[in-house]
Amino acid sequence: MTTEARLQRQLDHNRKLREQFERNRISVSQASILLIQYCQTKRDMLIPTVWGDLDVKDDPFEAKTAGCGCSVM
Amino acid sequence: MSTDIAERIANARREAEFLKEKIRESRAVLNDAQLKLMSQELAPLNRLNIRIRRVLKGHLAKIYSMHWASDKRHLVSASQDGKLIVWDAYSTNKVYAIPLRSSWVMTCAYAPTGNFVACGGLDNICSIYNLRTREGSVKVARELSAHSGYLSCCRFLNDRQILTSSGDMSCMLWDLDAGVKLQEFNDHTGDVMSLALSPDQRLFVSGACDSTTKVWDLRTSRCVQTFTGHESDINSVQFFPSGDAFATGSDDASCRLFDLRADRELNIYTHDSILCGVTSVAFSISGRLLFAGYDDYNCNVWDVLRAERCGVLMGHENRVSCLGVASDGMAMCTGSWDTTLKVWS
Repeated sequence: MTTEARLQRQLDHNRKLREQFERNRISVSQASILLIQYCQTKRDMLIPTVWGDLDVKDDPFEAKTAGCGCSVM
Repeated sequence: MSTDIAERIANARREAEFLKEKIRESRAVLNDAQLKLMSQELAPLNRLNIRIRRVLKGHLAKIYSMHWASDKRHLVSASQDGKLIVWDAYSTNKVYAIPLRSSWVMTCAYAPTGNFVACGGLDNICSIYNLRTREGSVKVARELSAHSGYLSCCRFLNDRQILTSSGDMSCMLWDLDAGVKLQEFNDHTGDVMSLALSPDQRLFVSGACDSTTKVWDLRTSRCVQTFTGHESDINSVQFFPSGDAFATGSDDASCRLFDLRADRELNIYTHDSILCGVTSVAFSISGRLLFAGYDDYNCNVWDVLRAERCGVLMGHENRVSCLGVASDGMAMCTGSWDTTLKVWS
């Protein structure tokens, strides 16, 4: 590699480092609070201990037992 | 003349060292807590009642990929028996069985509208199938060819655009109307194994055999963040439901949680007894649970916040190669080399 190319590569690398330095980051504690809050506000039917059990009638995987849609003539 | 350039290189090197030190300092200041310690006050999840509700039988060879439709009821699976099958997960009926031109399929995807499915693999091509033709039969709509390596993953943004990742170390965004490549995403130094779209579709994340995950801006095609930490190939990536974080699964037997705004790894999901690779990961709808499929035939359920394993789903007789959670969060589906898919709820 020529010296000019090596210089250009170093300058490109420094530009990326500068972008990394200027990036706005939040702290781990802030990020953790936001994730914990999200988990606690979105209803999750796979976690019954937190959100309660699903009613059988709301469960799409329960076999339908009541009624066949027929009417007596 | 050359001494002038040599001096500029030396100055630039010094500036690089200075910047690296400043970055290290600012990151150290922000590293003020641990997610799993802050989550200790939450009750541990030790009574999950997740069991098999449906078994989808019909494939004749290993299943490599599955993807739920947005309607929470249908899903598509791809097997090296050379078929894509679209299933009704409630009834277990097969709605479509699509024969493929190449049986070496590695990935499949369902368009959000339900109008199309896509697949690809060792043929290096992403094939798009129209499920809702006027004639009523499923037809090949496009064959997207430009990758020079296998197709590892594909995801529709909408009926007009699809993202692909490849063993050629790149990702591509395609226009489906014209059947051409719109953008290319190059920065990985290893096969790209998986990709995931952010909920607002402005970003996507990719995981590769170079052990890194990269976040890409869809408007500029640039890699905006790179995350390291894994010690081996990353096989699967998925966004946390808020879009602010993502999880990864790797051959190093661990899953990890990375946060975009904190720009670092927040949790690692691993255990001394787990020695085999993770093939696939998916979050439950609240983000509290992470389902991970492993080479040892099991699916482990992780408490994302407390970093504890809260369940093991045993039901397959071979490697769990793929899994996904339906968009209403009611069901999770695993696909396996044992030729079956199982729906858990």
